Amino acid sequence: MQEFLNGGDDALKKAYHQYRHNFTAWAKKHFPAVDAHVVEDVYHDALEIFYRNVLSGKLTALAAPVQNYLIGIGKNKLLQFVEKNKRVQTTDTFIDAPDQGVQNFLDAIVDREIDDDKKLKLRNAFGKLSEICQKLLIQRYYESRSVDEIALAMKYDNTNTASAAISRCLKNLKNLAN
Amino acid sequence: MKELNEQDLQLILQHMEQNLPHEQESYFQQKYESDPEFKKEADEYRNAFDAIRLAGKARVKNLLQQEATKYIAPPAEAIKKVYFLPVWVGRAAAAAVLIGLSFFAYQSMRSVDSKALFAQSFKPMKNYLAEASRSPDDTVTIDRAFQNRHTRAAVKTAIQAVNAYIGENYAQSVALLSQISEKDDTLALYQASAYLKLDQPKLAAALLLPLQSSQSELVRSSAAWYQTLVFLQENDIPAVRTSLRNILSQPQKSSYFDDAQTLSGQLQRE
Repeated sequence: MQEFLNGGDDALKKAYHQYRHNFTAWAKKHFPAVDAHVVEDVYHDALEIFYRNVLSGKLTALAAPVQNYLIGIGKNKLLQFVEKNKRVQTTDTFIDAPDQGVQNFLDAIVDREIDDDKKLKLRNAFGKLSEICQKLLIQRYYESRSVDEIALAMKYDNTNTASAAISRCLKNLKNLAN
Repeated sequence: MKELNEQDLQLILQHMEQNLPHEQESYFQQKYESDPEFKKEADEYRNAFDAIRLAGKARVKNLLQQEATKYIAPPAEAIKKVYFLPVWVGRAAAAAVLIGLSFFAYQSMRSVDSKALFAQSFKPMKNYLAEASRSPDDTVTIDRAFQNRHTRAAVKTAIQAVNAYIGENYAQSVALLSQISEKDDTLALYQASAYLKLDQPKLAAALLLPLQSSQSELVRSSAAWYQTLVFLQENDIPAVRTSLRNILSQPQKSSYFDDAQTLSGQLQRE
């Protein structure tokens, strides 16, 4: 987790390779009829959700190995997929319930669904921002970096200047997205 | 509409970041339900936060997709096309390099943010599967959508590829499409545009070249537009301008006329 907090993209890539084999083997065993590309996509989703929750400080201590969290998220996503595609069957093999700590984490995940048309509109709005604004907003509100960290990374003179820039960008995005 | 006071703004921002203490959260909910101005502002900020979340998620998923390509065999068919290009292409490329060098000074004096322009201009292909009527067996659906040109096995792969594409899983889509030996033009367009999203303009260009002489106007105009985006991705702005002029001067209005006009306007402002 500390690696995620310090290492950014490199830590994410390392984690991707570290847990991929076990995740796909688990999915193949419990969801044999689900295509490999769907499993791969679900693995990406699981890693992204785990990463975002670590960065935002919502997950500060592990109650189980990282792999259990990824499998917990992945299981929910694959069950949703199976539900949508009734023809795909899961195996009869009993799927263990996750540890309580992992279950608590899963219960707390807030991942609001947004319909496709709205997604397109929001993506376009974000794409219209300058590259600097995009970076500032992602670092501040997606990666949950502090303004101090951002000021240092983006070479702002001081925290106030960085904070003002972030506010300006957010207001721009609000206007573009509505 | 009156400006939000600083206190209300902070309340909204902390709510969006899910950082409000319990009692403040109740206050937020009560104000949200009773104050229409506050509700409107909060909803607008929610859209902005959703846009950031989508962009952040897309960035992470793109990064993971790049890593995923290490587990996928390279698309042999597309590489072969590039590898066995005729000799004249090599000569033309050498000439292009010389011409490119002469443009270099111009380019450095007047730099264009082609990456941002590409991000704004690229729109994925629409979901042709969704347009066809659903049937208990999806293979019938895609058979109709792709004009009965594929074998049953290829059709199944095509369904997976298009679904992966629509789900923005471009690496998987390319890997699956590469398995289909005789693709129709629509599938070739899916693959070419997926290559663009994977930052592989040369592979996209190899697929787009034959499509520009297709009998179908829609395929020709789509290929011409994606070829413009190839040039944009390669930061070859003079070629982008020429390509845009061609699209905009077609006697039959291209399906990408509006996109071409927007990009042309953006280039003029740069």
